[in-house]
Amino acid sequence: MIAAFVRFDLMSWFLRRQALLVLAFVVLIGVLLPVPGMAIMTAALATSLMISTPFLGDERGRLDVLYGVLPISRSTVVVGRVLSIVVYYLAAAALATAVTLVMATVRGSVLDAGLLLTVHAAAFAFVGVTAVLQFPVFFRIGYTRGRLMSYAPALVTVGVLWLLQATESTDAVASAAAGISPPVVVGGCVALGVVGLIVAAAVSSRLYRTREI
Amino acid sequence: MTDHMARIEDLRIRRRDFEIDGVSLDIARGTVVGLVGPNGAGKTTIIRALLGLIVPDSGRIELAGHLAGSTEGLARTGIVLDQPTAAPEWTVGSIGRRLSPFYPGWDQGRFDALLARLSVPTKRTVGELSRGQGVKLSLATALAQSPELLILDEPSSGLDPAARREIGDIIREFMVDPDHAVLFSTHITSDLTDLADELVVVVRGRIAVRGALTDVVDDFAVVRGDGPPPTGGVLGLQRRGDRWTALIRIEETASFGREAVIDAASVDDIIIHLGAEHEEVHA
Repeated sequence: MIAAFVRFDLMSWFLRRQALLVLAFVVLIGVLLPVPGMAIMTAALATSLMISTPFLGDERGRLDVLYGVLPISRSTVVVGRVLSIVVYYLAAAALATAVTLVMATVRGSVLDAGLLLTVHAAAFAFVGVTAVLQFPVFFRIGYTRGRLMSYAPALVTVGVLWLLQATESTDAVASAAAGISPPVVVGGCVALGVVGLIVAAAVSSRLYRTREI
Repeated sequence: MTDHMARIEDLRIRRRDFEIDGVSLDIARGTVVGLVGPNGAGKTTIIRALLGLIVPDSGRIELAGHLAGSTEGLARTGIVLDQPTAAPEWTVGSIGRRLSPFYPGWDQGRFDALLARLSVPTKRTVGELSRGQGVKLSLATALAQSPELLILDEPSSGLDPAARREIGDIIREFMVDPDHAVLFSTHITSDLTDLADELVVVVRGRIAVRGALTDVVDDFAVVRGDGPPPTGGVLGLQRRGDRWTALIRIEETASFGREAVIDAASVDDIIIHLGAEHEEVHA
């Protein structure tokens, strides 16, 4: 039933204009900015902004009521929704990777595969963390009351970057990160992403189970 | 197989400005139960609790032999709400493709046939449908699931008489199978004439009257008069200036003098008067 719900969910929002425009934005960043990996990080940021979209659709079409009367458990809805966002992220990341490779060829630059892998892992970790921040809120109180959470991951990221700049610790953090071996960074980021998604699904299931629809 | 399709025992739900107070209800196989009452009486809340959409403070609810909100119970229940639960941009024709994976008993042929019979245009999006067409779509969707229990929550509000009659005919066809059952919530009580076997009147979160439809109507009368209203034997009282009407038990008619005008009570009379003042009554 989870697979059926993922398919149903993706049919409901993946091909809508907003979702496609965000993917187009990822491509645009990959084309315009020469920094390798920028499009991949944008894919993660775009995914964090897209998490709220299906919840908006739920409220517009009373799909939250539909989920309540479908013969599937609420946990199935939660896990299915998280997985459909993961599918969206994978599509965005694949698109970003393709654009990055194409633009590197066009520009005649050489891509560092290790760097791309690390960026992918960091982007996935970002998606996991944003999932923890957003899914429980939307599943508990819905889009209308929780919509400000759409911007929380982006604001937190900007805030952290500003803090690093303001405290002049950017170099220190960068050198500390450089001291960690790449496999550890990649492994740690992937683990963080996976744990984030699992925690997001677990907490959301708990909160959604008793939500009145 | 149990002899009832749904059962509510001592349901209690207390919210900030609303209360369901000790509601018990049985929906037996082969019966159509009409759930009536004024707006805000608690009909929709009872249905939402039955479907597991809200969590009651206490009470036990079974849907098709399973606990409320269970997937097994919901799989055997078709639900028609006052508006379709479908995204406005979905085309009517795509709904079968979207929902069928969730229902083992989904009958696409029946869905298509019902849409054609009810004149719901399949190429239009849900957002382009009129309110009546939306209700018809919900009914077709519910029946395509091959349910044993059909729950309708205010389906006929805003429908023209022909559409209401068509829905009544479809429910009668559904009830040809003696294992089926229907819970029909409405405040348009004429929808239940010739359809409901049992009537449940909900007033202020409590069941005020229940019984066979004919018994309920036969058991009450309306007394009209002016001047000081009566007190004894009155179940509900409506006043307009000096004039009043009172709902009484049919056996109380003798206690009112010859000057009192006494009429048979309609279901609407019962709802209106009990909405004013009520006590638990069993027909």
